[in-house]
Amino acid sequence: MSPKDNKPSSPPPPAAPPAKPAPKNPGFVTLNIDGKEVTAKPGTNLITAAKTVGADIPYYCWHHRLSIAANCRMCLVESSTSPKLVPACQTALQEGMSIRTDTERVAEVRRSVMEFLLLNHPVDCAICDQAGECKLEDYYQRLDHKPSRLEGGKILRNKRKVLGPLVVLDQERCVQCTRCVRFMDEVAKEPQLGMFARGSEEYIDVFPGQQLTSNYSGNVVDLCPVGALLNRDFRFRARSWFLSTVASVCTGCSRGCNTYVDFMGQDVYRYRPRENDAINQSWMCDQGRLSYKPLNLARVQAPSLGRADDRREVTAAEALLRATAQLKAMAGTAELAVLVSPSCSNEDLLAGLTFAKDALGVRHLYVGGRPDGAADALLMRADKNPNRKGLAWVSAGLGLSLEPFAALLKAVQAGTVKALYVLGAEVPVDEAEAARTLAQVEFIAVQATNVTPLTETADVVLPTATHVEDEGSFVQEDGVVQRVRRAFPPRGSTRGHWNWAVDIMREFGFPLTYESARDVFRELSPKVPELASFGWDSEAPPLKTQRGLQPLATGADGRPPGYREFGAPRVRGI
Amino acid sequence: MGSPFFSAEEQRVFDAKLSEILAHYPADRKSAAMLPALRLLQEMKGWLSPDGMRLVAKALEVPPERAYEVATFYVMFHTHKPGKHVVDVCTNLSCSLRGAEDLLAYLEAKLGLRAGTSNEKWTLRETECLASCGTAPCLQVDEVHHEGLTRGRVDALFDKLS
Amino acid sequence: MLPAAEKVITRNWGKPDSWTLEAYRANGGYRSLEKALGMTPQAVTDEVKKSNLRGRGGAGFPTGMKWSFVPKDSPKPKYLAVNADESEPGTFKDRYILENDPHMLLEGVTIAAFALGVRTAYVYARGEFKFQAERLQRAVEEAYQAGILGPTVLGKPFGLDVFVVRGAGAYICGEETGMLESLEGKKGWPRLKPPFPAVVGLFGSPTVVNNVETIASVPTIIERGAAWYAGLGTEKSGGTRLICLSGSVNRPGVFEITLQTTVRQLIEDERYGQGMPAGRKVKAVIPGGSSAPVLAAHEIDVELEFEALKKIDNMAGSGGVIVMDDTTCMVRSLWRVIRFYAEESCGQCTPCREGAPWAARLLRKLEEGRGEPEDLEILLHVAHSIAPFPPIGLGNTICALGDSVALPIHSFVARFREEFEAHISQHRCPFGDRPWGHYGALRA
Repeated sequence: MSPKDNKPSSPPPPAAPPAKPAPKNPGFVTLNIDGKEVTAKPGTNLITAAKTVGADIPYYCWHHRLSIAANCRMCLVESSTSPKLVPACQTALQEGMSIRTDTERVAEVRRSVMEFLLLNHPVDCAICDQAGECKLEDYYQRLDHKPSRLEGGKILRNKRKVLGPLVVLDQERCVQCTRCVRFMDEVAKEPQLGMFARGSEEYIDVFPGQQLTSNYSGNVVDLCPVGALLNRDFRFRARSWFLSTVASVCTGCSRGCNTYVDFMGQDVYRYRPRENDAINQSWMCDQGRLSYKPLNLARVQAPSLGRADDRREVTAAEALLRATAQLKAMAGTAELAVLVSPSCSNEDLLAGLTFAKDALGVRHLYVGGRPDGAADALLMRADKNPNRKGLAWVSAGLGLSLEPFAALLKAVQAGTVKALYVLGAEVPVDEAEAARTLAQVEFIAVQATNVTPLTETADVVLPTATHVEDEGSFVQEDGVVQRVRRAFPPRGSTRGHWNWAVDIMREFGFPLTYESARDVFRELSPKVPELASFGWDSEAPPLKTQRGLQPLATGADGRPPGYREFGAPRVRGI
Repeated sequence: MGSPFFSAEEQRVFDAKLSEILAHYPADRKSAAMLPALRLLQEMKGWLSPDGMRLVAKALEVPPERAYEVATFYVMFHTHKPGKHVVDVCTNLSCSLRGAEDLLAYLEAKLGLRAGTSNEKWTLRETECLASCGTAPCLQVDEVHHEGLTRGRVDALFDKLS
Repeated sequence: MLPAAEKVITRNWGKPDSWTLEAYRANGGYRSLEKALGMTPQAVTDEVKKSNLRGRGGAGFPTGMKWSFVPKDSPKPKYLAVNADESEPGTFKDRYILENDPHMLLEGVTIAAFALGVRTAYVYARGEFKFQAERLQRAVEEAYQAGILGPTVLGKPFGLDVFVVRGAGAYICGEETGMLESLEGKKGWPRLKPPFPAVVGLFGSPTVVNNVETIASVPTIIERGAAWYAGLGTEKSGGTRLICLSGSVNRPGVFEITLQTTVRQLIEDERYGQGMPAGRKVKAVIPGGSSAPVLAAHEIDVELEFEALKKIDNMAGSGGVIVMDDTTCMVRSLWRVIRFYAEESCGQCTPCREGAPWAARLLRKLEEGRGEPEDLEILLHVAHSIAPFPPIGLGNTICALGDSVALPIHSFVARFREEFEAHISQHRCPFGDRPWGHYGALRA
């Protein structure tokens, strides 16, 4: 029996719906929101349509890439089509309808939904990672701003339920919006999460004994509008308002997912996916999400000379002199080989390959780069190098042919290679083994971002900036050229690959005037037809999308207050 | 994993009954059989263990999370082992107007456990209206209605079960 | 003197073995089906339309109109889903139909399926109806054996399968789309509307959802004609009604009444409630299941009819009439009702999920004498935030369960405010440990 089912006046649609009014703007739906006329494509979500006239409808459960749940009831608005308030997320645009988002009735229901959501919420913002980017906080400030009327204790639940390797759940903070469940079902297609039990007792969880092991689990943390789902990698590491953000792309594979890089000082704290409909929609994989770590860890920070125990740090000038002297002697001979990584940016490749061709006189390049890895149907690609396509384009544009890494090893074993210039120290085989083989080469100069066995065997190591420390561009697998923006200046004495290449060329006597990656691209990209038309400036995302707070003066070491060396916090006396 | 969840005989019974259930639904809607399939499992094993739910989910070609959602949503499904007899007492308005609160208190004392708890022998719960308002107060023992209860009838019923 | 109601639904109740096919046929059963099969499906639908039959599940929506919403040209199969998830507190009529006359329901199902072009029908019985579902299942088996169900119905080129499905204990599955979700093997989370089930229902196909009593009325309509059936009722609703009388009244039970019967007559008439217990007076009556607004003693001269109750911002609902006498505590009663809805909220919508338990908590506080004056205002505000009232039907939630939480609160406090205030000022329940009225203690 269903006394409740249609008790409220929600009768089924009339048998023959009244003829729809002719559209005022053919091909579009014209409606009225808060007294302003809105013209939108049919199928546009009302929340999106309202934004165009400045009506910012609040919501928790709605997400433009997930199915509509309409369960949070935060987006309720007045509609001329119903005596009830209607959820904006679910209401189809109708010709001539009139929507009000600014009435007292709407404001009142928003306040009441806020009060309901906060009723059993622990309000432990002081220890919550989400603080500062929390919809509960934002809407409370904007819409409610009243003390709780609940007397007595709140419902206590599990505050640290580990769901999987990357995600931990605080069930007390959950607002039951089901975004995470819908994401796992609909996007990740690994339905590892569920909303169990019912009513006020319901909770998000995994199946008993299972884990949230999906490679896309990190996205549920981004999707969670509150601090319920937290990233274990980021947890308790930084307050969000101290973080600055810059637009970038993930360099973890050839997909080129668009990212935000959140950083403080010269440390990257996390990647978050940045919307790009064509490439990654709103998502990124966990492997890519964690690929920020080498930006902070095991970096090559200073130029050095000498292999193994003889290694000593030197000035950049000294390193350049040494590299130039050695390479110049062999330039133009078959004994000089160049190894290039498809992880370098276009600008690095443009300058580096120009150096290889014009100064070193090589005709072909050996291709290094990270080895292939796991792939999936959604975003993760087997090719773990972000710019293989760019390397193909640039080498072809400059008339250089590409040889596989195995050919280099063979040549080295045959003893025909006496000197090696390495642009990016990633290799597609076992690093230690490769380094042992390559050690037979008499002289090795390496430009590298991180310490690897190869940098340990190199005669000259030139410390290189990462993609978040310099401007640049990458070509993802489908041939889309994408700009990255510089988050902070290069660490230590690092410089971009392009920068080192340009510096050596100057030592070689080329009168180059390039001062930036931008100069490199502008001057050298015309030789590469695929890159020539790319709007390096016009297609760049805004430089700083968000700047973190720096409430106190920067310390004498240039680091922000509260800075902790990456890794375990240094707590004196413990 | 140790021994299989079902014995060979149990598996045969389960498969046969499940295919009977599945015949009630369109061929591409196996998942619709979730409630009857879980009930079948519960009838065979007494409760719904994770292994059992996984097995049902697999048979219906849905992720186990969906089975667990259903199992925890409906109160007649037991995701923890209940007592030998499950006693559901209606204490809703119509029954309360006819002595249901007394009935529940009487049962708590008689069976020696609080409503909402279980022991080896009993699971005692308050339940939703059982549609016996005209013959209130009422309760269900193992899904069988007992209505028009008095202290004497309760004694007779439960003394028989003990 | 109140005229006796024509026996439409209950006519076979109490006859020997009334639930068997043999007895049903002996009492004239399945002749309506034969008659219907001789008509066109459209003519059957028109007959139901003209009968003014209105849904008996709670909403009172005209049945014939509901049937006509089903798209005629849909390439998908169509379904009939009979709602036997009778669980609105105070309601126990469908249960007796299933127990006493399952074949009347099946005959109605068959006629409705013929009219709608349905080849598969499901009857969703609540999980607790084990006995009732089994009895219906036996009736289904009898009908298959007798050639009433199966590839052909009574030898006509029309086939129908009927399956009995049991729920597993969730009130929300009485909401029609919650029931459809449950039939699809999921949690009973009500769906967003539109689309309505008539267009996108079970398995994505057009589906008519009707209550047991509604469908069980169809054979009689076909047999006696729409005009006769409409004539039993009022201008806008035809037929008789099953009413479930419970609570503090001398003879609780299910009665088939005319729609002109008032609440007072139902309680006092010798054929029905036989009056209040000695010395007791009516204090409050819920006229349509516990989600309906409560009536005070001076309001009970209202007819138990859809329009009459609607006129006073109430509802006929599911026909569950619950009577409370003058020694019943209204705070306790409301707490009990709200606690039920808090437990049965499906958990989707914020206002219902969070508001109902909060209201229950406030009511407990009031009943236990710990309330403060502002608690009453908070309680009303919580109710208002879930569903403003009046009129009925403004709930801020996906389904009407939100309204079911709010309506009792609004109506109880509006009518019995002094009693709530007495709990606050006396710091205790004025009824002490006997809050449940005359029959409120367990008998020996």
